[in-house]
Amino acid sequence: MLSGIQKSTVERVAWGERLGFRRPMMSPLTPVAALGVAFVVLLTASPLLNLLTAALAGGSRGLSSLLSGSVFTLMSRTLLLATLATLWALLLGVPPAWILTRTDLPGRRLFRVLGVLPLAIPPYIGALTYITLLGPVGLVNKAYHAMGGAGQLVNIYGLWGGVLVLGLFTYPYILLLAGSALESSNPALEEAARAAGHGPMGIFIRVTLPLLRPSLLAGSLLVFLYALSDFAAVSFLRVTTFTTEIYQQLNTRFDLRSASALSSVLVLLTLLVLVAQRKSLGRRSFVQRGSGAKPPTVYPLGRWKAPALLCTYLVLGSSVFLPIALLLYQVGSPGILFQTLASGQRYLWNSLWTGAVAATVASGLALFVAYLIDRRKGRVGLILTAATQLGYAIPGTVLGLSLILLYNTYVPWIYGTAAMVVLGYLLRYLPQAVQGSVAALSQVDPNLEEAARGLGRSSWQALREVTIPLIRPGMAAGWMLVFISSIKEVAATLLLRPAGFDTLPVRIWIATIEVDFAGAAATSLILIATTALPLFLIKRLDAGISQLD
Amino acid sequence: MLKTVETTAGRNATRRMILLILAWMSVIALGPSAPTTASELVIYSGRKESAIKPAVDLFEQRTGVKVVLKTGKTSGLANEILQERRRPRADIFIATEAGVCEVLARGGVLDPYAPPGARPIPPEYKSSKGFWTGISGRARVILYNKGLVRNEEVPSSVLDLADAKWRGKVAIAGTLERTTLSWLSALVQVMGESKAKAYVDDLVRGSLKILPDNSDVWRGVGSGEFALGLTNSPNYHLALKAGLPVGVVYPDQGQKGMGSLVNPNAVAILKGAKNLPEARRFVDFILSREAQAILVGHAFEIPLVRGMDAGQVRPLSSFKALTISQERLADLEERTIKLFPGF
Amino acid sequence: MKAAGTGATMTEVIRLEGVSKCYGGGGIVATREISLVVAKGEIVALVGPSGCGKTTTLRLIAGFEAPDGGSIEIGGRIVANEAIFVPPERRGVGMVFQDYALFPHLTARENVAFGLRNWNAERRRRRIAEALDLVGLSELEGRYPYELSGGQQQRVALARALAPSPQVVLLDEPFSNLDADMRAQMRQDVHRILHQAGTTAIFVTHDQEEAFMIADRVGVLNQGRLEQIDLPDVIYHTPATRFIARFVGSADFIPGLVQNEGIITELGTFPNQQGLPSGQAVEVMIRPDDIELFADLNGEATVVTRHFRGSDNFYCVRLPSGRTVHSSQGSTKVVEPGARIAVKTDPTHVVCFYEDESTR
Repeated sequence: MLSGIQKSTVERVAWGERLGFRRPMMSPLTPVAALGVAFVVLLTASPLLNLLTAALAGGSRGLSSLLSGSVFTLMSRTLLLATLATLWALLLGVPPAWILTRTDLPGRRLFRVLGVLPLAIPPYIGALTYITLLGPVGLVNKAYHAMGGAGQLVNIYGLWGGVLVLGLFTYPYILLLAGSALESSNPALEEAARAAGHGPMGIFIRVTLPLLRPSLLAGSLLVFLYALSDFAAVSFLRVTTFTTEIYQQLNTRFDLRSASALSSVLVLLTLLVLVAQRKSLGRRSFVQRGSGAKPPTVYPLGRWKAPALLCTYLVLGSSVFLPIALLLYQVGSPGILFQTLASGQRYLWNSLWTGAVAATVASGLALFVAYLIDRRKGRVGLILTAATQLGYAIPGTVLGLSLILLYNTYVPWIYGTAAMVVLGYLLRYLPQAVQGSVAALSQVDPNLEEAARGLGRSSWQALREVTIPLIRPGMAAGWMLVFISSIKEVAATLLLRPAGFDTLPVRIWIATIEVDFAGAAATSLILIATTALPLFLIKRLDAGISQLD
Repeated sequence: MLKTVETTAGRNATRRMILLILAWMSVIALGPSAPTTASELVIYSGRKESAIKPAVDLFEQRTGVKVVLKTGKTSGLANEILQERRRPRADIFIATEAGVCEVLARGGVLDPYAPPGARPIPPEYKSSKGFWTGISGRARVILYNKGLVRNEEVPSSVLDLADAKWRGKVAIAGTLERTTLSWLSALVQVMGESKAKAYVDDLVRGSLKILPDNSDVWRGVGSGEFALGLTNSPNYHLALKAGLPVGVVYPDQGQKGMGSLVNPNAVAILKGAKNLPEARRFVDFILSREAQAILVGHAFEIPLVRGMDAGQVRPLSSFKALTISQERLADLEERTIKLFPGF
Repeated sequence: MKAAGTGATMTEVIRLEGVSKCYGGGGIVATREISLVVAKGEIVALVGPSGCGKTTTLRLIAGFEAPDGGSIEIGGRIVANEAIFVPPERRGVGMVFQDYALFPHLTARENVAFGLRNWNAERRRRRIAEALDLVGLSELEGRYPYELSGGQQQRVALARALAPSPQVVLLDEPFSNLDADMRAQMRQDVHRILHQAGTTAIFVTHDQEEAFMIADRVGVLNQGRLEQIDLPDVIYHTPATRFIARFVGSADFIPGLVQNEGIITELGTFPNQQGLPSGQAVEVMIRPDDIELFADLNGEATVVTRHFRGSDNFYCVRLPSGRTVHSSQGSTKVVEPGARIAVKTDPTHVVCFYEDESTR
């Protein structure tokens, strides 16, 4: 493919143009780009289409379940949960993001690595650990009784528990995206605000925060959509949401139609959220990084050091240290850990390679999609945004079932292989990679690519030598998000895994239903350690690449 | 020169990415997880892996047939089977609840087979048309926390659970656990629709706690979160094994009592199975004494084959079972779901 | 429009013929049939108000845009017409962007080296050294863009564009991001560097003064049309249109009538240099430096305002007819507003426009 471009000296249409990568133009998509778009849309929209046909196939019966009043209760409840969880995650994510990138807090590099660790802890594991702590017969209530208290001091079950746990284990989305935006933002803007007489707080509220909007929105979107689509954690915490209702329809009635109809509503909700996000970003420009980008200003903390540390410790403590300590407590003895590790190597490997492949493919696709979205803000961009984001909205179980039907029928040679698992990850988590790439790309001045073109680079080479190095932190973050989400995924994996192919989360799930809590905790710890390791590696890599760090 | 290094690094990264993608494709094409060959017997099992794996291993040992096992939740696997119907992937389905097999039978994805080993099984624990065969059972029991319920207070009937003194202290799994659904359907059958509805409404008014899962029920009762729980008999033994202070009641054993509903675990052969002879061999094997001993002993299940040693659990002959056919339960299902929307 | 008088002996580097470009499905016309020839070693400035199409013209030459009509040749090779489109990387064109577009992840040296990828190591090293030396940044080669001042960044951008010895260097508003003193300095430097390198260059600016200082020839664009391209003094003294007359300097237009003895106006009679037909009503362009003022108590004109501009005093003068004209006088020649004056006009170039029409 590459050599072909290099060979031809005179082409009817430039390569870049062919991909539609031209700034002010709205020329029609060229064959290669159109093919790419068609592929992405086919890949992502086919399960959706399947879902809709399944929902409509039932005619009145499928739709009747939507008309019952309970759907509205369910919807408002789910939206409430997702909104509160997002607010909670923002509250947890934004202050540390600022503290860790913009202040001289001692140990901030380590904290930054640790701060992303909750992503390594699947919310369902988080839910289980918090139930051991804050459940009706959890450690806190036991201690309370031991001290002579009566009744329940705390009860995690219910909406607030769902909010607590979902926020605690998704805030790193916001920390990561806001952190990388804070790192690459133009200090001149803040200096301008400073010159206008604002203190650090004023600058943060009036300049930094508004400029962070794309990142915060992207992060919030990830949290919000996660909360909409989460099943395992909310069902452990006994919150009734759309997904639990869908699961109920599927697993007690085997009613795929109602489940599909309900899922379609969820997808519609997601679509609305996405449209709202686009509207809210509007036509404002958020490009900050010109070529003269300086590293951002670092504020000395002074007497605020102790509160800043406390804030960081509190957030990290409740989302990292506490759950891990509880898991260790559940494992009981180190022997079980080693034993699980020894017997679970195969599952570990399965998780690792499927996750890595999904993350890599997602990053590649995301770059393509992000490019089209960012550089051609037209209908194609809109279609692609929608297509790549919606996979996130389909509950894992429903997505899994759709994929089974589609691939078992039309591409049976893929079905029954581990590629299905990868596909499941890809469809569920492509939005994360796309979000990361779009956010990073929107910060890169398109002139830089033109400069490279003028210096003898094809658009592909310009992309590789200029744009990609500049958005590498964003892409790495996207890769990492997809990888981590993938190796935690359980709902779709359960359905899509070929017989005999288990991943770590599947083993955790099996251990949980076998009431082998020590085993589940041990496997969870292995999963967390496995996820944490690449987090460390990528953070290092990041620091090495970017001189802005 | 820095620049050159940078470019080479970039080129390498691209090359690496392309290699990775190629590797991925080759993995799809020939990797270790390539589609199972026709000679491998594919079993989708809703039974716990620890319970079914030893039996499967023994089967492989005895017959030389290679088995690929996919363990999951019964209903999840059933959905999968329904979705795969155009190109079935599994040969055998093992369900923790026979009603699911009835759903699949009505969905036309099961292949009938009446194994000779099923003759000693009472008719209500196997499909009349041979679509599925019960392999073990679990009785619907009342589990109680010994610390919270005094001996003299222990209820003897499920009807006692509606008593005001247990307000907010009784737990049950929702209909996500199909055994609950069966139990509700059985109530409708035995008590009649209006009485059953009145009873269940009483329970709900008495702040019956409906949990997602049976394991939530027995752990909740064991930990003292609830005083009483309606669940399945093996859970009593699991709770004991976990060292929890629980007692068990097989309810409604009196002369006029309705008895305790027994839900069978079942095995079925899928229509279009690629390894039909091996599948039948497996069904025969699973009903053999050897396999039964593993299945029953390991998971505290009640043997359905008459004359099997029940071990620590109460055998079918030792209590009064509520007799109802799975076909009837399946007929009632839709009605039951409508009657009890809260579950 | 008048094609520039380039000598036949000179080698053409750029030739634009009837190049048009529209945006938004034809709704917005960026350039209309622009024709332009640039000879080797020549520095051409394109000036015009914002939105006149000058940047688009540059981007069309660079290959960042494809023309909707016409053809573009670079070095005798057609790079764009209705059948051919050569992508920017194959045009051999260097570009300096308004915001410099330096690669933030590369040092000054690496930025300069960027376009020399296919050169062998020794040649590349020499060329980088030459380019950096040319712009006087050899010392700072290891710095990242954010560690350089605006002027230094500008030089790096120039060195980067020049390093691969392109056939032509395109500069898009190269000085607009610099402060005033830096701008003056950089204008001289860029002029020197371009000439020293013997490079053909086209640059775009909205500042006519800048264009006159640096360019060998200046083209003025208005609403997508190239209205005139010629030597700077020709543009200044004999603008082809009223628009140009106003754009490249202050100009007043006073009515006149063509008679046999010349063009009769309020300010006197001017020679009919253009050979206009007798009896024709015209407007004569008067530049402020064409008008001299004398304090004269009997004078018929009055000073309305005086603005001291450092090197000169800029007067607004009311003529007996009530019409006002402007005059630039030496900085020491002070006449206070309200004073009666005599006005003397002695233009070397008499440029007339028809009253109803902008062109001569």
